[in-house]
Amino acid sequence: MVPGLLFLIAFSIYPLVYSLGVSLFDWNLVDASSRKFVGLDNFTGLLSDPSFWHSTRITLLFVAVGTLLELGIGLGLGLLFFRRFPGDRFLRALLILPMVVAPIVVGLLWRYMLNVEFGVINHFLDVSGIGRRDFLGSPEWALPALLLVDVWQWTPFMFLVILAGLQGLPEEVLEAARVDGASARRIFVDHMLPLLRYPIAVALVLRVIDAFRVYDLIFMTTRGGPIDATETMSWRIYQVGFRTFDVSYAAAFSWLMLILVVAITTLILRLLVRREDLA
Amino acid sequence: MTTQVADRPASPAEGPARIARADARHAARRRRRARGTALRAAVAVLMTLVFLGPILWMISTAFKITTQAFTEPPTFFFKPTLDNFRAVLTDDTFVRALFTSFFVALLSTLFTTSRSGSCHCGSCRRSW
Repeated sequence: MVPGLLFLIAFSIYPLVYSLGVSLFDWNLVDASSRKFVGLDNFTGLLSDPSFWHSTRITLLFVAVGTLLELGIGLGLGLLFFRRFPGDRFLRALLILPMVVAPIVVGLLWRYMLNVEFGVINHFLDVSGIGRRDFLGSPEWALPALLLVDVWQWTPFMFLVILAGLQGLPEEVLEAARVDGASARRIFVDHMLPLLRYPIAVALVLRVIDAFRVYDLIFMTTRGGPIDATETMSWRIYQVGFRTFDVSYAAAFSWLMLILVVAITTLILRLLVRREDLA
Repeated sequence: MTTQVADRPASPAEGPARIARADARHAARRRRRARGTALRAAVAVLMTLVFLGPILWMISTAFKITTQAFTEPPTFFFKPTLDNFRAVLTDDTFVRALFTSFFVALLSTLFTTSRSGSCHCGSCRRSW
């Protein structure tokens, strides 16, 4: 236990405490005269900073819409693959491929496909009469486009967790409901969903945490723009910390983001998991 | 939905007719189930293609020359080339990056599994 504890202190607790310390200072790396203690000034400054609220709103939108779409489609796919059919293992293996592609590659690939001049998606939109759109370059389409990419990449993960959950369901319960004459819809709502609560909770929490951290995708596609349409919290933190070198402000920002993530994941777990199981 | 009780003949004389009717019902249910399976397989193939599309596009682009990769309308049929793969595999930076990725993945997996193992052991022995 002692080496484990030492590792924990060195790689988790010390950086955490250090960043909390930094957030209480006014410290800009390019300004040697700074680095004085200011208490909670960074935090109060953030709460009255419009760009903080803007990035929080964008992030929450991204996380909420993205994870819910992924949950919905993942559930549908899970039910589709729940009962065996010829070739289902092969299709399942192909279906989870997006998850394995590196986010940088995903960003590059979608930027290439969404390009307004030679992108294949715009070509099909043009042919089908919908018309071309500069998805990543227009303020109103950039965030939906990023959501599309996120849903494309991470629905397979949701699907995998839900399918595993479905396959672990007690077959007798479903069989009994069927014999009692319950419709497929009723079996799904009354028996499958309640029993799937824990796999769904786990998948949701992991996806929420991951979606909050989205950075590489934005780096490869919109870089927070156009203007600030896709400026998420992690993107903003990077800008503040490593573009303007205001590390103390970035540290405070990170702490607020951490608090938000913990609050939301706790809420999800409280809603979906019975209290006595939360050990 | 019918139960076992209903399928049982009420009197010996009615037996064969009932059994024949039950057989027809079973056959109908089997057909329905087979049709359902085919439908699910079709939808599954379609969904897989939707999710696989971008990856297939990426793979096809890998076999194009630069001018074929940036055309409008996009090039769907072309003579594939291995030049891109040749270029990547003979590029020192790529080979070095491959080794770095491999090294990082291996070590971080090793460390996190072994360390979290020992941390977990410590935390589960005491009840918090």
